[in-house]
Amino acid sequence: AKSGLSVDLSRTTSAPPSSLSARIENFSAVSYPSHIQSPGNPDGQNKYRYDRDFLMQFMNVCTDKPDSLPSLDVLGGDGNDRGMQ
Amino acid sequence: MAQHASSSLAVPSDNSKYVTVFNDPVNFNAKHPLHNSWTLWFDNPGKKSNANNWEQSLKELITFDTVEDFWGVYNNVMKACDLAINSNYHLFKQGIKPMWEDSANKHGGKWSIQLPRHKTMSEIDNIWLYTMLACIGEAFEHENEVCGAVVSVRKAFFRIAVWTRSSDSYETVMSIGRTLKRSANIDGTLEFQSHHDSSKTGGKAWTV
Repeated sequence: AKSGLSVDLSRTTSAPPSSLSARIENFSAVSYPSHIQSPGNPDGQNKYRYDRDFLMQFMNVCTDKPDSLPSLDVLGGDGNDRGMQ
Repeated sequence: MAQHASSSLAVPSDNSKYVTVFNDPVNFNAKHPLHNSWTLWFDNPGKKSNANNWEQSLKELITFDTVEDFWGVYNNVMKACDLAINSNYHLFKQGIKPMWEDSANKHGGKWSIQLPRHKTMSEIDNIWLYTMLACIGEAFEHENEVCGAVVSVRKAFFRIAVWTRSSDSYETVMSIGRTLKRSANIDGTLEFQSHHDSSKTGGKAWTV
């Protein structure tokens, strides 16, 4: 693995997530764990709207690299390892 | 060419069976849709920069349309502060090229701020992250007015910008600037400039 990649690998979940997933259309049908802030009613006009606090909750949960994301080589960074938290 | 992040549209037969990534990080069956699809672009024209090789160096990395897929991308690309000098990330609505010639951009402009490198790197990363979250989370009041956001890595500073579709309405433009400043925790002054003509605002910069 090159540059920042090695750090990242330790953070991935043990198995790939389901690739068959639905788009949530009705948030009242979702039961979030008690420690998760729900998006409330992000709507009003049929619009998906999420505030920062809601979005940040996914940060350490959604860590798998999407299959279609190109290799980091194209980014040509400076090769240090500060990148991943 | 970049491909669409996988998000098949199968809908569970029973809505009450939504399993989110918080309920089961491995076997979840439902994702949080974004109002728009967003494409992440990257470019590093290097030192001998001109219009032609800039467009050649522009790479479309990936398009996503869910919160989960955004984070999968964010967690697996370099942080902005680790990019090489002269490179840029562009996060634009799908279908809008991150160049002012695009029809969605050509009447617009950009709110931008230069952040000196003496700011801590994590502060710069966070401002860029919060800028992207404001875009994908649709924090901006004028839904159609935001085209995308850019972070530019330069020798002496980072520049973060949000591009607008139009530049003639003071109220609309100011609303976007104020929301950006608040959403991204920016404590400096943002300046607006139209792409077409930097004197469009009458020689007097619009700032928030």
